[in-house]
Amino acid sequence: MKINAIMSDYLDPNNEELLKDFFIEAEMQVDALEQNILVLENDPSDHDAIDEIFRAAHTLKGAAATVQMTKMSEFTHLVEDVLDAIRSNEVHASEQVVDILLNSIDVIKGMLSAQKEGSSYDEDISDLQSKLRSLLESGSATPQAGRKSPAAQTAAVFAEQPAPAAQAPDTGSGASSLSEYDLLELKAAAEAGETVYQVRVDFNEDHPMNTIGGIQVFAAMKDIGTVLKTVPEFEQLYEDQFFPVVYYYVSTDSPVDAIERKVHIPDVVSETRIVPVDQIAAGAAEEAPSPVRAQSAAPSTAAGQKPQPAQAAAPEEHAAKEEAPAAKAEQKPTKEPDLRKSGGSGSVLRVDSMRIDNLLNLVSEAVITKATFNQISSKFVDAQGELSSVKSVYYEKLRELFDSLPMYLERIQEGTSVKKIKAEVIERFGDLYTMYDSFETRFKNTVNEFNSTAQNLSRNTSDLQEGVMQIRMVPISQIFNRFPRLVRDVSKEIGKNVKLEIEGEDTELDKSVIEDLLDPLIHCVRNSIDHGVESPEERKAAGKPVDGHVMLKASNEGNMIIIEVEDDGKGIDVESVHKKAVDRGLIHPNKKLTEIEAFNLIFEPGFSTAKQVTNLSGRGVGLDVVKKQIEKLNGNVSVWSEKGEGSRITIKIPLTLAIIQGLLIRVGEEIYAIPITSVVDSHRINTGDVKMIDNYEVFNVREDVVSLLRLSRLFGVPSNDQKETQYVVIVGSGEKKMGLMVDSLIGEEDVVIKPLKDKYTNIPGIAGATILGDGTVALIIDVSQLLDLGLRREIENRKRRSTQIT
Amino acid sequence: MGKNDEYEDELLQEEDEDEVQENKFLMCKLGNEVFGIDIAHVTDIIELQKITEVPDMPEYVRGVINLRGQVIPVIDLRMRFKMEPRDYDDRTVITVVQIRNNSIGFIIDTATEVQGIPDKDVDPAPKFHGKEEQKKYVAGLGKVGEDVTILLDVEKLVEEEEVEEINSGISS
Repeated sequence: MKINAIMSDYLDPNNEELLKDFFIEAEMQVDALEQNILVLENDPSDHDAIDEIFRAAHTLKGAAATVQMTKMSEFTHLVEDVLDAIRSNEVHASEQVVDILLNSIDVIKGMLSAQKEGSSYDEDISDLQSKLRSLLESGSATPQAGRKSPAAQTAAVFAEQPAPAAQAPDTGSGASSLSEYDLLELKAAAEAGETVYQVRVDFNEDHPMNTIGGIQVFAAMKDIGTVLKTVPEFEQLYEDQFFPVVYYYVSTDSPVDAIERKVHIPDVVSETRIVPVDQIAAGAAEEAPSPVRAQSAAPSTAAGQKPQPAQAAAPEEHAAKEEAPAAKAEQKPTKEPDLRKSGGSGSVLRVDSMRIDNLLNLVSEAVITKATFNQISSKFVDAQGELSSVKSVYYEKLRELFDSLPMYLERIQEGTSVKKIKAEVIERFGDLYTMYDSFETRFKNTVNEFNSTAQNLSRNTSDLQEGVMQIRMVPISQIFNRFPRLVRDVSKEIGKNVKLEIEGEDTELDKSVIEDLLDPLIHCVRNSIDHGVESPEERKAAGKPVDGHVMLKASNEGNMIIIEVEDDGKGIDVESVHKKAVDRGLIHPNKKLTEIEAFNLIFEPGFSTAKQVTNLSGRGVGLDVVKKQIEKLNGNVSVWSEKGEGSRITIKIPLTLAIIQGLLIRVGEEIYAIPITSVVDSHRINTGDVKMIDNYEVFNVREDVVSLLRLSRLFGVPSNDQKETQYVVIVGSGEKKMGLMVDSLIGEEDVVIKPLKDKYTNIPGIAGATILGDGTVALIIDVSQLLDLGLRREIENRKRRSTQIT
Repeated sequence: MGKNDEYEDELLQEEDEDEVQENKFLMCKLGNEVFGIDIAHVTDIIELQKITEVPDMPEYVRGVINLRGQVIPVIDLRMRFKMEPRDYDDRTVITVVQIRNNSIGFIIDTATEVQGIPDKDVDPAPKFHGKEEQKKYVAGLGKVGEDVTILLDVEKLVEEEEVEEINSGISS
């Protein structure tokens, strides 16, 4: 009943939430279509794929019709016919056919996105339409069979489902059997200035989605007025059943022809008749023949059908379902499996209810812990009270003791034995020892309780954290699925044969990460096909299989996701990289490049080694964009390559953007967090280790010379510059490295990123803020921005300082 | 926090007791002057806590604090109005206002009470009054008995900032 659900939702045009559902679903169907068409291309005999395609197209068509995207519905219908022809082996799924189908899918996508933005799709599709039609005609001697078959099937269903037809007379009589009271009531319900019309709508039974016509008209009428009543009842319209005639009672201030225009939905509605209700009431006698007419007509048109009591409609429909399972299977079960596949695209997230239940449990646990803490807190208050009362008694006693000391001394002088005095003192003041015991026990217990509750809380929160993260996790297949089509298009365009292999598409990662990952990945894959994989001739000459091979692979490694794009092409030629880099002035001609350095050079802006500039890559937008993007996600990119064997781009990104591993450091009084992914290493240095080169402060790390940046100066935090020992955190990736001078290292911690978007807080060099254990806020350093910003600033500051000195 | 919660409760209670339909203002003291902030904007009054400085911000933006897990900016209203700075003490509070889903904290000397001021006792902002900086953000003058209180237009205060910032960005 999913179709109906969506339809009913649509009835309220303001319900954007549910319209969004439609788009998500439509996009899913389009994706399913595309993927399976590609499967089909590789293996034309894959019947599962064909069925899947057909189901997806059919669902899409139905859904489009329900939201009144007639153009799309018609077009999809045509596509569906072609698919049907393929299914019945009338058309062979050749490359050319697949091309046309893929183009058609692009058109559907365009229509969808146009609709989503509220505009209309006005590309010319007649060419494609005629291509699709010619496929139908040429592909089969009986093209009509393909076209007819769905209709024939639906017809069959309804032949076996006489109930609605039999209901015709009932509805007919129902219309005029509205009592005068009913009519008065209708009129009373109308707003002032509105007229109540009776709209009789005859539906076209041949329409493939004829069971939803009633709802479509209802939806259309809602735009212009209020539908007060329908015959048959509104609830019945929702049932998956065809009614040839439906009466709507609508109150509106629109003229009759406006209603007519609204209601007359091409293909769905065959005839409409609109009469003001007053006239029905007045001319009840005139209308009287109408049921008679209907009654006489019904048996004649339904001659071949067994007339059934109208009331039996529901069970009858049930029976029909059983009688025609094949036909039904076409409509309903299609939805279910497809829905399950959904990972949720766009901004709507579909979450396994198990995950929510799990969270709920954890939250209730947290609530209990909170209550326990409240209890403990009052226990501490009690303990404090006891402490102060014990303390005052204690002091009182001590004072007494001191006061009586002279008396005891006197008595000793008078000759009382020390032993006796001692016993007396102990007798009188001995409880000074034990006075705090009860408090101590109570306090100890409370502390223990506090500790164990705190432990519970920490376990609970980390479970919660994980649980919430789980909700945001979606499988990477969501983006991987786009690649088969992409690879096909790209490789065709440049005349290379490339097979794509996908691995680990079930790997899950944060939704926000996944969205930002698509573009970099597309770039990498294109790059592999364009620059990596050789032309078929070259491959043959090199003794490789003609088909190039590109692999897209995702896997988990701790808190990181690793995505690899690997090809078996010609690899990165260190020589040509060197030459290019020299040409571009990136390096000195005499500089010897190690392989690693050469590989990293390809990420430099403006670097492209393709001999020919194609429209795929080599447009000046190079891998540097990939690198920037990935670094924005707190990840990093590396390349491995072997000449003649192929190359591999490895992207490492954290599972989520909301929580990262951070290195906490201290500068003066302030604490900052540096994302651990950008930290290379850290050193403890003495002031003497800092050298000056060319007005830069630098520091030697093994063979490398790293320029230093004092965070205290950069951020204007007061701190002692001249301290004997300082810490340097080397940050950056690849070639760009820099040492951040800080006062001390605190340690590694999971930090939750709180965005700073405010105009008061949004500044370059700071990626966000996090809240530390003690509740204070620490800023998170954006390393790549800092690298850009840092040098500039540091130099300015140094200039300023030196001018101040002179 | 205990003391402060009570403080806040007290303020809220006063609000409850007062049932006449009028606008309520939180009375904030800055030196000798008392400003009123429309209570509809005020979400919290919290005691001063450690403020994390954000580099490269105008001096009156003291930094950010953690408000129940949310990181919000804090502005020193004295500095904002170019008044004589003064050390914070235990009466100093941060008044958190919410404007269009953005929370922002204002450091004030102290919050004294919530005062209901009927519309008839509110005069429009005069042409010449107060220091230049304050004048722009005056929503009106409220009369409470013999005293006159400057009612702050918080929305404008926060919004205006943007314009100024852009301007300063262009000029620099």
